[in-house]
Amino acid sequence: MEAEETVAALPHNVQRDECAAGSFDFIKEVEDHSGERISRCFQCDKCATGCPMAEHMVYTPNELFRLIQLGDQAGVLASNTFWYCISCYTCSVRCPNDIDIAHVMDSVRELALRAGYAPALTQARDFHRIFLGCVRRFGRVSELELMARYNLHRKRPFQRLSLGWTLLRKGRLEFWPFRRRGLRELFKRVEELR
Amino acid sequence: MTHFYPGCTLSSSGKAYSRSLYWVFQRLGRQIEELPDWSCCGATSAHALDRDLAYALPARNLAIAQEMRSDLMVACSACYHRLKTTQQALGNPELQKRVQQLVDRPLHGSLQIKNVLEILTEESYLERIHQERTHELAGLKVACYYGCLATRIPRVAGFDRVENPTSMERLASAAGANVLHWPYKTECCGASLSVTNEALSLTMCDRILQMARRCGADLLVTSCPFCQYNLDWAQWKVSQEEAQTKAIPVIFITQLLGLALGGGDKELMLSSNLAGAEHVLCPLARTRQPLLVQK
Repeated sequence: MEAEETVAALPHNVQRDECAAGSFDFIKEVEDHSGERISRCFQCDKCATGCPMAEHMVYTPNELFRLIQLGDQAGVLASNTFWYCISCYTCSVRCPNDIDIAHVMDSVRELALRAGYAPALTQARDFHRIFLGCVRRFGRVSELELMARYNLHRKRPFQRLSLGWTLLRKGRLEFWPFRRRGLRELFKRVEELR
Repeated sequence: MTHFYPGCTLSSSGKAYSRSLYWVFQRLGRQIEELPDWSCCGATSAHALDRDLAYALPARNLAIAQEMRSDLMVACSACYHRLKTTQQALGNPELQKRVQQLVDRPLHGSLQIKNVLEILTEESYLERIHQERTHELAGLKVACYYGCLATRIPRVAGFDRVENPTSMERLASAAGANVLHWPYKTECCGASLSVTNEALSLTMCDRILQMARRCGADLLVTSCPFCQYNLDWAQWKVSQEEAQTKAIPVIFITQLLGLALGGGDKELMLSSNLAGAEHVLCPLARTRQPLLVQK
């Protein structure tokens, strides 16, 4: 099921000759959004070597950085690299040029969503959205609510039923762990500033 | 003054962490107070989708602590990572202004954000744990697993080494356990992949578990609720489908300390593990030997 979506995200033809002629607008956009200096990357490959997800990426982090430097906006935003990044920060703490690479992945993901590119891992985007919905409503996340909403969204309400039951039996799920006001005002202010 | 920021996970799937943590600290004579009106730090979801939320959610908690002139003690690695990262990022005056506007609370003054491991490895606690042990753990071969987020915070001087942290090893030795040295202690467990992409998550957890097995570990000890859940879940998942080789229970560091300090299942929630609890921990909790020679 997951594989289908991955394959769909793979093919896109980057004409490297073409992007070499690309403009500096894109690298500037990424640098402004992330606050990180992408231009410092000199392709040492340490990020790719340490990345637990590299084998699933069409472009490893350093390759993606090269494309950003070359100004290939479409190639970067359509890639699956930042969707497979699971924010373990191995790359960020190993980068010899002090680029917070995982943070740049967040920025590029945001830019891709804003520009309307389809995510390579739809489930990941949906999960994060549902998670933030929970935070908005209650200020804290109840795992039971999160999983129920995620399953409903995926139209698989009975998935992981035995897991849920086991967790409940072991005292590891609570029906209403929190009773508190949500963070609607804060979320509204964030949306207004966007 | 120090307040405790528990984070959302410690109320449900990581409940054993919070219960054992409260018990161990009480046993060591320290009262823990929860940060009032704390809210979610946004975990990996906020920074995955929205830069402003990624800073605003942790900053709200920092503001509450600052208003109370209090420091923070954090147990969950993800919460710790987000709070530390935000504090570091707010050093940029422009960003600070922006986030202050979002949070609608003053964001100034300084506070210390400390990981539970950082507090427990203070000399006085290490010594007390060692001296006040009531039960023997010497036969237990323990592999400590840190995962990613506790130590890997870019540009922040952490409480432990990034590539080879040792604080849990120091704690486990103080508690009298047999500490194993193994190579995968900071490998990634896949975090929320266990929800969004089970197959991938299982492969990642399996690599870690296999290595632990090959190194001869009886127990994996961690300080991160996501790591604990994922490695525990992965073994449970496999055991549902095939007869499994012996499960390695994955427990929290505070549960291990609690075992040495005389806690039982009620205080430490040892039986809340999905995999392997009945094989190693419960018999251990019943039959482990009281220390004969007190030092």
